[in-house]
Amino acid sequence: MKQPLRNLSRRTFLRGLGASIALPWLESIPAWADEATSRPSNEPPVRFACVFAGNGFVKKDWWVKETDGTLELGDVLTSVEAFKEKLTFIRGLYNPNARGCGIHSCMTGNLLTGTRLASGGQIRAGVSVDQMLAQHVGRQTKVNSLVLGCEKPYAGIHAGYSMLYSSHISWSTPTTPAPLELYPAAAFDRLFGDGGVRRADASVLDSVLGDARTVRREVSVLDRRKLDEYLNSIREVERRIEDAGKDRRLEGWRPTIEKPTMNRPVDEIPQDIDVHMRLMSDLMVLAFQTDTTRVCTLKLNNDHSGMRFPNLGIDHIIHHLLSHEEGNPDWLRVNQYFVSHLARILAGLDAVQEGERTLLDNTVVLFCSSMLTGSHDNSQLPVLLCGRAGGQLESGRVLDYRESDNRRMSSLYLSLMDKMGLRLEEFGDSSQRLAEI
Amino acid sequence: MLSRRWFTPALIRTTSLLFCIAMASVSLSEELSLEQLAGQYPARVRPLLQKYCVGCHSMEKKKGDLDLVRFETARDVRGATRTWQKVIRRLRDGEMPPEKKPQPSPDERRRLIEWSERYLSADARERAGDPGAVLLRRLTKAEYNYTIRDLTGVDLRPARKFLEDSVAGEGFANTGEALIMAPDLIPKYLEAARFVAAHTVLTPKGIRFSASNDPHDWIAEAAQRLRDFYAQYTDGAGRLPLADYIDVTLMYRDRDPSTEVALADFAAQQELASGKKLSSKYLRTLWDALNEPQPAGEMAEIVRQWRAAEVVDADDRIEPVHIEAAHSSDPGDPATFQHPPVPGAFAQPDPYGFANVSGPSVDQGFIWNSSSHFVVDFVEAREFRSICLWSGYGGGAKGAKMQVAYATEPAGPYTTPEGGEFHYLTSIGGGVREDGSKSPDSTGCYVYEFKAATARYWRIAMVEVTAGHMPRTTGIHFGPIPDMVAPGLIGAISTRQSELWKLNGQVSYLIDSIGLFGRYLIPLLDPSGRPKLDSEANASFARLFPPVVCYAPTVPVNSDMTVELSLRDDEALSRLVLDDNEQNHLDRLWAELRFLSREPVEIVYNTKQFIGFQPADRIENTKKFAALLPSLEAKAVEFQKSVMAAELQQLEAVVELATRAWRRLLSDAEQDELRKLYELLLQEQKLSHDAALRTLITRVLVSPHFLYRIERPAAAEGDVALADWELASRLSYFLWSSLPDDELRAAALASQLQDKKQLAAQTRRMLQDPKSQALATEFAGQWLQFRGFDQYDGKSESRFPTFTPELRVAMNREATEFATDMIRNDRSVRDLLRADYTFLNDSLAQHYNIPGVQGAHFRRVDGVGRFGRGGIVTLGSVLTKQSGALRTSPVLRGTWVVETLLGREIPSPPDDVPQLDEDQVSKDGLTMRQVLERHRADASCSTCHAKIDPYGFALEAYDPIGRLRDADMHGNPLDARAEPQGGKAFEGLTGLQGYLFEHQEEFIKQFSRKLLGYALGRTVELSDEPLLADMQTQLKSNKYRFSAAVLSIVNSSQFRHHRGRNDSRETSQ
Repeated sequence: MKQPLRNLSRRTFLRGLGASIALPWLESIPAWADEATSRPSNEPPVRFACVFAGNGFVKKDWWVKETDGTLELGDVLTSVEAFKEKLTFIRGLYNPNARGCGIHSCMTGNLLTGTRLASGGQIRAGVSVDQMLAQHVGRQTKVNSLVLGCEKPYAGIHAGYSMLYSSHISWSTPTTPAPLELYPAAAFDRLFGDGGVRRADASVLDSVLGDARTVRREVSVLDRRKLDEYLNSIREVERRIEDAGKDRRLEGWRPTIEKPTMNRPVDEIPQDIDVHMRLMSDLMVLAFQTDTTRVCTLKLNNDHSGMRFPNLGIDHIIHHLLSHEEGNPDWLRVNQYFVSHLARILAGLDAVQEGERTLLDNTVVLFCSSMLTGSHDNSQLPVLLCGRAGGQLESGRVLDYRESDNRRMSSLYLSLMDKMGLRLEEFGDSSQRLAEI
Repeated sequence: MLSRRWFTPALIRTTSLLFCIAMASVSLSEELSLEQLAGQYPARVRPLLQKYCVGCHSMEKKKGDLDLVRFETARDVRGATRTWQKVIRRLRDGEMPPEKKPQPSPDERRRLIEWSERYLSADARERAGDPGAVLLRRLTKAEYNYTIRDLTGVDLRPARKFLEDSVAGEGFANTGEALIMAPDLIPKYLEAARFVAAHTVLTPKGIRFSASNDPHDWIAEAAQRLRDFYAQYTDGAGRLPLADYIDVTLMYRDRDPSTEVALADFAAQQELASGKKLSSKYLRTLWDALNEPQPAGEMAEIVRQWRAAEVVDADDRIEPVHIEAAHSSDPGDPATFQHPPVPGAFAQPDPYGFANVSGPSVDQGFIWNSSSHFVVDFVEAREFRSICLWSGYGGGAKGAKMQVAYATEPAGPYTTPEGGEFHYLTSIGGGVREDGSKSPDSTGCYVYEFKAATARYWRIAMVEVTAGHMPRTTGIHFGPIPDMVAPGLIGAISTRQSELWKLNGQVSYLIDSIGLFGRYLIPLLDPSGRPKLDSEANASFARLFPPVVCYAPTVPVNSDMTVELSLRDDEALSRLVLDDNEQNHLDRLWAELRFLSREPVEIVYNTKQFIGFQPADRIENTKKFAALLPSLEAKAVEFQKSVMAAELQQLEAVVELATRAWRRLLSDAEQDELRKLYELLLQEQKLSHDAALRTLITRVLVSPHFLYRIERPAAAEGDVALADWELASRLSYFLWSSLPDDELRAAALASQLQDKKQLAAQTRRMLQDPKSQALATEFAGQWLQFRGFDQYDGKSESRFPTFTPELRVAMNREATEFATDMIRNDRSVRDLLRADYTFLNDSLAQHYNIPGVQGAHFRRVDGVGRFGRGGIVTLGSVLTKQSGALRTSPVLRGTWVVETLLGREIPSPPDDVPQLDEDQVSKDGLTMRQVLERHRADASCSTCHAKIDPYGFALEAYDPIGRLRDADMHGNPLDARAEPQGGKAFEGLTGLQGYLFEHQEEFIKQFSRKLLGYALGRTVELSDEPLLADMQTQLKSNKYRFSAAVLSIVNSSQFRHHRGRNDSRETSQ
């Protein structure tokens, strides 16, 4: 499916070349795969979101039943009832590389990568599905992806693994987690403003790029890899400056609105967790609606989370310890609270009409956690798909993979990437797709 | 080196400290070489693996993630140290093979363990000192802030919005693997760099940094620095501490004649004893004048009195507190400040916060009215038994009723001591009052005594006017009498100063009275040094005893009231007091103030404005000032030229900044590149000089040279010594989390750090420096997990209302102070396990129920052992963090003791843990211990929990926020017994401390390992084992002093070397 080179602009070519030099792990992937497999340009694009909640859910209340094409939802999920025709509930998927290594950190850092995590003070997780999409589909929009979070990352080592893994599920390189943006204002600026860089910065960036290039020759092979992170970051920001104001989209379809419909949030991280989650959710919806990005990950909290919920009257225990109290009604309430934010996102997406479909129809939201229950059971993972991926995903179904040989999360990711126009031979620990998706 | 490269170890990692135990035991028997041991593998070791292990641990089954089939030769073992250490541990603990599988004979088991330990030990010796693969490190968030603080001299903390630090390696943020870079972080680094650039002040000689980004504040700072400068030599009103000088001359006069001592040396001794700094220049002049054989005019009387004066013994003197009051109700009113201070005048309102001061005065002093009173905050309780009021010249009132009162709170209630109400008579001049009485020192100071009282807040108020006008006061003085050596002599001098002032003061203020060019202080002499109005005979007195030596307030008020922005009059200070260096410094400070406020330019503007506002009938004024304009304009032109000249110096200052920011010297090419960018910004981007310079600073601070701690190893194989600058940076980031200071830079420049003695000396110096607090926060804080406790949010404030944000800040502070004290004062690291002291303020002491600690400041408190405190285990931060939100957690606390303090490895819980039914704690009234004991009945849990829980149980006497308690949350009596697996039972804190001391070797090892991992920024590897052993030996033979471990690291090959650029040793996976 490679396009002939002459059809590519020099820019695209150079970018592809740059990417394959700078990002050696992508060498096997044609950098223009996205453009080659795009959907017809007059169709709205498909968006991908991952919404993550840590520490699992109440097992007995995390269920969906399908009877004659109608879904019935368990107690955890009642707030998404209104969208049940657009849901796909998946049982029995798991991440084999997150098993047998310990708990929490080593189950979480690789949730979206499907690879084994490095332990013993090393950091390595593989590239995550959202960032894989960002590096391809992401090129078509101003912002290649948003990685949002509502809880500060942790410092510390837990059971031999850096807790960085508990705090990060998005990885732009195998050793580099995509930084979590905790500041709503900064995310807003990235989407709708100059993203904190100005044209005047170009000369500064150019200059420091020179520093990095020079010194690169004088450091060890190992350090070169580290400097390349810096080099690539500077280059990327230079590209953003160059592209500022340009419309990167192909001819044809245009988003329903071009400008944000919300005000710029205040500069600080909101003290109130509810405000924080709502702002981040709204930003995600707005980012999709304006087609400023097509890929977004929202980490509502960390695995091993220390959040408390004074707004629910549950301030006497942190999220993680509460998750160990399966029978405590407060744990169910907190689960429901997280799902209510998902519902808010779905409502926001579904309220935007894009031609005959809604934005939710054109999106696929992966709602998941790194364990099924608070007692670290990841023999199967909680997975809920919301939306129809532009009509490519048949929703209103329950899929059960518990007895299947092919039940890896990576297989799901391969299928989902297909919907986004990125066809890979293999991903994580799988080279198979889920036939039903 | 070569032999090391022969192997390509893919995994050279150790996670088990058991290894060291192994080394110790093996070293007793004969040491076999690596080759010899490798030779034993096929026949003696591998068959045992085949027989007992590979049934489960094979390529296919890979139980426990372990494949033992692949270890075909001993070389394969060498590449998987970590795996092999796990194997040893499981064999040792008897956990493997599992019970239901065939067991090796005791002899076989021993053979397997012994060979493995010997082999790893030989391997460690073979690779000892390998610098290892230290991945390039970006500054952590904390390091960035510290570095900017030390680069700029201002604690700007621009990293607030950076990515939070994550950790890798041995659990520290300063490890390359955890220090990522991504496109979305670049704007944050740009923003922080711009923030610093915006706080840069461009000065006549270069740049400095300010806590503010507002140019008005920069001017205020420059003025404040002048005030601070003057304050070194004078009181707030510009007067010399005459009594101190006279004091020294009298003592020198009366010195033991048998000892030959020069005046300057004598004065130096006195200064040392009294802590007062005196000018030797003025002292010499004074001494010579007082010893003049034939003094003339006013000096004759002064010299006569000086010869006759007796020294008042120091013990008989009482330190009074003197208050200067404002001239008017509005301290911001420039008119206030344009008036010169005179002896005894009110001048400095701020430090004491006067209230309700009213009635602007055109004369010196403050005029009372019925609502005026001063409340003085003495910061701490002070005892007074008298008040002295100075009266203004001429006075006004015939008398007023005054009242002194005191209180413990500023708002009162106020108590009037007996005698605290008195009748106040003002002066009619020369120290004479309305009723003809004289003040004791002839200066117009009148003392009123009352019954002694002690309080922090003192108030003086006028109750009613009894006759005539409102009284006027120029100074208030709490205490009995002024602190004077020879009151009569001082009085004689100050009386004459006042008289001279009166004679001349009026003249000099003619111009000032219309709000212009204050022509200022020292009216006694004309420019040629002759007295203006008085006799020639008094010239020597006037020169020696000017009433004031400088105009200390130095007001840079850009007001429409004045033409000049700030008043400089310090001729007498320069002439009498300052040496050349001091004079230069003062001139520089003035130059900066003039420069920042652009005074020469502003004056031209102000003068034109002033002329424009002159009414028609003041044509004289208009002419007078119009005539001044050409010279003012010429000065403005000169000033503009100097501004242009300064631009070059500022640019060079930024280049110099870059050398410090990049922690080395810059090559010529690098310097040129910076200058070229500056030119480009000016020429092509059309930026102003100011904007271009700030952009250049931004560029310096987003450079990889600043953001990363770049090391450039020589293109060699094997180990290469660090370059001087690289070693300096390693040292400063290890000990300070910041860049090298000037002294360390100088040492690096002179290649002194390559000398181990010099390196050790620098290390000791740096450990004692306050900046080593960073080592406490970053190293101890991350290792012991109290870092960031001030932000800890794991407790319900409704359930624990006393656990306030202030308390958690205090707990964090306690931990930091404890560790800082250990580092700076080089205490034993065993104090971490048990100490009889800690660091407290009042609220934390109250929380711990420790009496006798008052005040919000932190101080060391001894004897806390009997209150159940002392040592890291009893820190509120640790006990609180290692608890649940509502209840204690023996599991968390136990794990912390075992893993964090002792470095034992506890296997992770299984993926699917059986539910710990904590509901039972509330439902069935079981204690946490009982619940856990049930949990342990489950075989899969008991193995680990038996290794953890006992140490947590021992701390059950501490509640979830670290207080001692008598019962748990359900009222069950406490049970702090601990029965560790295979050891003696113990109970409570003392029992646990005893246990920890018995196992101190594990603790010392763990401490060494963590410190090494922190210092090197990487995981501790097998090749570091000999260094770890050395650290422990050094600690043991140096009373466990903290510095012993640090010096061992700093001296090590690992710390002083890196791998050559062409090195082909594989990095660990």
